[in-house]
Amino acid sequence: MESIEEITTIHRKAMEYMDHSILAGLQGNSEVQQHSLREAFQLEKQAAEKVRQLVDFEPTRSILHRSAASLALKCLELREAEKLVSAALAGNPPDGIAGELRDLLEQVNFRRHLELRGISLSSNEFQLSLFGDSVGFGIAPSDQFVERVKDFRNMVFRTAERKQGEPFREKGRRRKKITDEMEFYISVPRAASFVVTFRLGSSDQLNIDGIGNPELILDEVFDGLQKLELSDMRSLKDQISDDAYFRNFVGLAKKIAPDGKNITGVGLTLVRNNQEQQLRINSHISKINLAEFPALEGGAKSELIIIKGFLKYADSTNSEKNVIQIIDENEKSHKISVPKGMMSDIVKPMYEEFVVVTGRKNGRVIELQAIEPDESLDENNL
Amino acid sequence: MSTKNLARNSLTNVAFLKKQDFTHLLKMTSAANSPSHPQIDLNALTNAIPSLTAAFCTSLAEAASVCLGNNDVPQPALMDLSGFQAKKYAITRLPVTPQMINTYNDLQVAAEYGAYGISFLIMQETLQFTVIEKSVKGTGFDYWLGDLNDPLFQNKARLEVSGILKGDNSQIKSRVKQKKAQTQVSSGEYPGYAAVIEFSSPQAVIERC
Repeated sequence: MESIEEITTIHRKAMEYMDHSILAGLQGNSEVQQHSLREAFQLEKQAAEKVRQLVDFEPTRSILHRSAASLALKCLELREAEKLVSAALAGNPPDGIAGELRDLLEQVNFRRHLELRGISLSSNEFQLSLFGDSVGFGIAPSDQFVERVKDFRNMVFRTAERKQGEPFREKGRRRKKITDEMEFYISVPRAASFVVTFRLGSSDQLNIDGIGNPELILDEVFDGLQKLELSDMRSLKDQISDDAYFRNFVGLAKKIAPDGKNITGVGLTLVRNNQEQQLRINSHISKINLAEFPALEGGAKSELIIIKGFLKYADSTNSEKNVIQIIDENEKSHKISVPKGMMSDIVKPMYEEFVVVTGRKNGRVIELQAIEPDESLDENNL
Repeated sequence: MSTKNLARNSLTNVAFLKKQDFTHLLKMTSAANSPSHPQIDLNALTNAIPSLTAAFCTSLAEAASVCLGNNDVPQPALMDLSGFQAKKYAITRLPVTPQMINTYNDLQVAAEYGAYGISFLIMQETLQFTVIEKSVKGTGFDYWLGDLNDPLFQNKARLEVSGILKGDNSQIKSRVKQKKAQTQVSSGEYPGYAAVIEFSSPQAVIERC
């Protein structure tokens, strides 16, 4: 075995290549970026292999393996990443690093599920993957799947309406032309985790008269979800400047995102310029609370309150003033005003359910900021 | 930094600033020029970290400078440090060139890299801790602080860093919480620090985990 000094030298050389790769990426030189990334991976893998037998040389052993596996994942060497993570876990990694290694292995696995595996996608098609403890090989709980499909469909339609310059539609049906030309078609599910292909529009035609291009609508949705995934709320607000559409997009994304328990990953795959574009939506999106971003909403920093109870009453008869009522455990009724963009797609599906509401209190009026199913009741019922 | 922003830093264009902007800018500039504040000079970053290449450190300094420039932050400016220590720094950035603006056109990425640069300098100034090693993790790196003479990754403290280009206090708090949670996974095994740098009214929050 080589000395620790030699291993250190190899590791530092790997990190130098990684620096080159980053700098080349910033300068737009993707050839050098990829080459340097591969060199970094090969060297880091060497360093990891040289400490592999030193099972008690922690945290060095597990950090080097984790670093090499992360580089393998960046190089899309999924099998190599898997082997490196497994070797690290087979030793005695500290608890913290062991947790990170398991997360990495999950990313490797999920990356596999996002792969198209010989399926070809047109530009108006995308692949949706579900992954998690309650998802088996080609089978998933129907509500976990069906609800996400509904929400994704709403997100696409809302995006198409927004791109058409239409004001947010609080009630009533969407225009028939949009429904017809942006309709969702679904393939037979495939076994991987749980994977299906959706097609937007009835054919491969790209420029649908009057509605726009399904490819551009999908790109717009993908782009918005990517920004949410990066918690880049400000850029998302720049993309969706209308408050109602913005709230609606975030609300639907929270519902599509994994709950972190039954479903730990939701993935989208598109093909653009013959390249797969993959997006993993993580559970942190389901925890996003717009109340934490008052600057985006342009609202005053008024008092935030949380109310748990039964969603008993929803009134959308006044288009300017939607209202719901929550009955809490003491049978007390709380009237809550619902801002535009939330009633139809976010609030209505939770009607007559136990919910947790976050609101802003301005004087006597409580304005809804977020509404979620009360998960504590599910846990109690188990 | 945009041409408009470059122009804003010139006294000849002061007339274009709103009165309150100008008062704020003047206050920040004169306070930052006070000799009583310790300095964070991004020009010094290139050769400050022996374990990292000079080219990489320069790019971190450039990224931080672009973020500060993009926010019209005066030169030098005051930067608050809170968390494990509370003090004010006078932060000096590199002159921002059009080439730098072009390179760091993705300002979210620039904020991440810039935050690393500023955090390294603060850790050196406050605790005389230098970044000794780094390893690849997820989409970025984690950095390890300590003594050059110790074996690889042994006896080191971990540093998790995040940058916010322009954010309010609630965003900063939430990011600190998130970074602390990531770092605390390993607490007990080795010490860790979670650093969040905000660039618009520059501030650094660094907490020990």
